Amino acid sequence: MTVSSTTNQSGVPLRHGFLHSENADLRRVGYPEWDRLRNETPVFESDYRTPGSPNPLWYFLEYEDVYAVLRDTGLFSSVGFTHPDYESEFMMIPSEMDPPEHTKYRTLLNPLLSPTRIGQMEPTVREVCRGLVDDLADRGSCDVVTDFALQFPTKVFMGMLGVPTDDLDTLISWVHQSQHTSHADDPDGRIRDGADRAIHDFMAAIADDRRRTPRDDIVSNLLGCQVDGRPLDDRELGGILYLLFLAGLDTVASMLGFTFTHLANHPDDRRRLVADPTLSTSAVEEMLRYYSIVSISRHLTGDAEMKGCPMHQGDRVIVPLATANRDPAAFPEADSFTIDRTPNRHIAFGAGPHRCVGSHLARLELKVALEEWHRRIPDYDIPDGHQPQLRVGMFVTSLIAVPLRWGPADPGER
Amino acid sequence: MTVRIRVDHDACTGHARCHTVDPDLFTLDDVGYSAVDVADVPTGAEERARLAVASCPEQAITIEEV
Repeated sequence: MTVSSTTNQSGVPLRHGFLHSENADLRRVGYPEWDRLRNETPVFESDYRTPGSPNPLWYFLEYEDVYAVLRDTGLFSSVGFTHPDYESEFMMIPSEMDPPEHTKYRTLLNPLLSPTRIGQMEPTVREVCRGLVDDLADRGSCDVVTDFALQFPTKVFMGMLGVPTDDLDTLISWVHQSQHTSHADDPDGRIRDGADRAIHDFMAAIADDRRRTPRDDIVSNLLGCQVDGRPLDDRELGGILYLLFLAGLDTVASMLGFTFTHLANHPDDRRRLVADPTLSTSAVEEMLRYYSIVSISRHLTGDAEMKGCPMHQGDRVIVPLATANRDPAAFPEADSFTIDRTPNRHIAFGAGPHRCVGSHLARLELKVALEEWHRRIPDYDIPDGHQPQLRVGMFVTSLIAVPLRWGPADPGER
Repeated sequence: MTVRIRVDHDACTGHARCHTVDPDLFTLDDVGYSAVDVADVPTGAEERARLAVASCPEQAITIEEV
């Protein structure tokens, strides 16, 4: 193991140079490595520092502590969390705000992404998915990440924006640069900043157009919203659209990569799902729990002690949702994938006031993907010898490529 | 004996997991948060109510027998 562990002055384990997004063991082993870390050191300090982030760094890995950090927005602040290692003018609104300011903006977004509103989108989402699967079915093989997982949520999002999908690959590359460029490859943040600026410019151009010609789309709806009795200004609108852009595209794509890898490697689960598509709802929840992709970062607004950690104002805290959702103290047989697990009180969408505002759309997309894919392509595998490569991001973990292959459909059977 | 549920609106953050378990009992407001304060569980729906309580990530629902 590359990470050595000792203890700091207060007796809390100290892991030297640990940052999850730059850890070779996590990248190589994946989720079981998170389990090992949680079992060994449920709480630990890391002495990893960068010039842009010089403060002490604490990790909490158990469900109970992760949940406590997410709920206590007074002590654990979200301000500035998306760019921890360099100065950036861009911020996600309202993700990088604390209540009560957060609440003003969250209130605007809730109705736009409510279960009812998202439910009305189901036929459109299904049509987009069907189109992609139909195009792939006869090919007999694909990289499910590039050819499906990235395409599907991006196409849905572009539909919500009311823009043609000609620029789809450009949008995907901006998300990639903004979210998957490591500190080591981009120490001064220039690459990420360029992508963030491109995203802002793209969204600002749409907003300008909808100001002149309003339509029934999400940008037009936001332009009609008021905060403190006035319309949103450009900075606020830009911050909200920046959040929707990044959070909506990257996360569902990543979950789909893990979902298809699991089902390719576990034919029993796949056959059960094909035989009984009503399992898709619980299957989605179990995928979200077992392969939680998001890690959340906060900083302390004051001094506090938690689980023996003497933390101070400005210290950073990282809570990986994967370790919480695979914690045996919170879930029976936590390290087993149980396709019909009930109940399933996972916090893959976070918890507390920042609970993912797009969770209802994400759930719909994941469910539709399972149903539509397996309707056309029920049997597939990953070619021998291919080991999917993990990319452990600061915030989102994903698989780089997942090659699948399948035989021709048997018209007599289906 | 009546089974009664109670929703803590300070804790509810709109996961809507209860609604998935039993949409009739656990109704939502316009933006997807629980619209229930206190409700008696109809006969036959008790097991679903218990499952909804156990599914809430925020532990916002309590259940009691009165």
